[in-house]
Amino acid sequence: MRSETSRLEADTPRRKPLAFAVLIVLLGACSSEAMSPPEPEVGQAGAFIAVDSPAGLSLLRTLEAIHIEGDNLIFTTLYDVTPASWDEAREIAKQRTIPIRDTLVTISEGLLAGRSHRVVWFRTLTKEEEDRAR
Amino acid sequence: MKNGAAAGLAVLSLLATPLRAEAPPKPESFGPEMIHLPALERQAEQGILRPVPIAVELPDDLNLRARRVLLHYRLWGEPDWTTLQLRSRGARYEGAIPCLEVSTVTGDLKYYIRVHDNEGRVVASAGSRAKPYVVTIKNDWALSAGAKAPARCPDPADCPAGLPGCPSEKVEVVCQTDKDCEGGLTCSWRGVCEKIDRRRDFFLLSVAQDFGLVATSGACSVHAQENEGYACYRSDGGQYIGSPVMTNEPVGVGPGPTRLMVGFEHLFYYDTSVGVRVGWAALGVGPTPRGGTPFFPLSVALRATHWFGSDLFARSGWRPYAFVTGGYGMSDIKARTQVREDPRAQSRQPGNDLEQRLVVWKRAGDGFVGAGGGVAFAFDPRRMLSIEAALLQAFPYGALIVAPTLGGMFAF
Repeated sequence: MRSETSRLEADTPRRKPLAFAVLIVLLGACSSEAMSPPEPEVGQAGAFIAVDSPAGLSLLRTLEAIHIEGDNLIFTTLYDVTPASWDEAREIAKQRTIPIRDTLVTISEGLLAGRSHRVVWFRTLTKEEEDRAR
Repeated sequence: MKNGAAAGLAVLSLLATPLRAEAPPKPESFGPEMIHLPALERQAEQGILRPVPIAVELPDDLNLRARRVLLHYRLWGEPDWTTLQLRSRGARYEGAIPCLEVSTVTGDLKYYIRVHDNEGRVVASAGSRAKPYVVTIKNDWALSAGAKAPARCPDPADCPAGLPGCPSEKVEVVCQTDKDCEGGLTCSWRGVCEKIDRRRDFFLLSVAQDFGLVATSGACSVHAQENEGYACYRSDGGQYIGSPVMTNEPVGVGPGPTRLMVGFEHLFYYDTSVGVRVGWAALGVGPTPRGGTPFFPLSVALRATHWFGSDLFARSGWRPYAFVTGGYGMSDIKARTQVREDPRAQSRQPGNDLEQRLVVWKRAGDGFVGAGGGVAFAFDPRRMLSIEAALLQAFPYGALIVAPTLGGMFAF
């Protein structure tokens, strides 16, 4: 009898972590907060991209992307701003009116990958912005 | 009956031949029967300090229905009427206006008689307040010659209440409605006439402000806006028709319409009333999106109210209550929510930021049910001020609505 009790007590600690793990999995499955929302990507029309260069950060916005010979060719608008940080680039991107340096700049995603860059914001394109790439 | 011999005994009889009363009419209506007596028998005389015996003999059919026969009398110079129950001896009911009450004051003593059934209804009457019988109280020397002079009052110390010739006991007049009571008395919930200005019907004026709780997760999707009564608006005023990501947003809380209401409340028991409210949404109505159902500002609600306390409407002061209600009414709830645009989706609307704050209007209704509570303060039986709050569930377009209300109730 004594040995049986000891065996039960010995089993209990092993069961607790298992039950806890199942609970965590179930709770995670029920909570949509556990799923991170989709983040905008470089090739998605409307994405604001901050690119680091020797002259500082530049701010671009994707108008359209086309796939050519294993690379993505991205048509962008280059803004006439020089943010000092990624955060400042995001704040500038949230503004509705941003000064434009070049309305249409074409860059290769492959070349862009060689530079430090971040997608800092996203906003769906207006009709005028869509027309720039056509 | 002005002869002196019978001066002290005013006998009303429906059968007794000496007085030659007319037969009562058959009860063809719901009103009480009138016991008709010749005008001559409406006058009698009596000496001071002597009881005035009263007797009435009912016909058999009336006697079968009679439960109590009450004598109402008023002495000369007295402002109030006094009630005395006559004792039954078969079909004959007898009693006496006590000699100590007659006292030495001369003048006209007026009285009339009412017959009540088991439920307190007046089923017959002889005389009335407006047209009572009269016994003129006179000094002995002024009585007609040959008038009978019964014994004078006994010693008051040996005179228990209720005995003929002694002070009468007060009798509660049984009633079913206010119509069974006279002289400004009202019928209490105990079924007896009381000198209380008791009001049962109230007109109501109030103003209510809705506040709503609405679920905002997914509220701004095109599906929710087309099918669930939501409408979302961007900061530039345009309706949002983008592609939101489903995120967990907290429940939105916001104001709803301000309603002006009129109503009616009927107290059908001392602690229970039923009522109706008709409201008009004067402020706080949201925009109607294209293709949406226009807002209908009229609302109608029925309610049943329980008043906490014993016979609160018999006095002024505080009157706490709780109620259940239900009815028809639209409610536009204004809240705010955060929306995250799905960058992977095909763009449906230009200018939607990755994250933006939207104004959400929820058109809830058209039906609602709920409950609430409040307290009223009665300044007098006719006027009271009330403050209350209701918790309402709107359906089929759901929202939880809290509606504080301030109002006045006026009896009529």
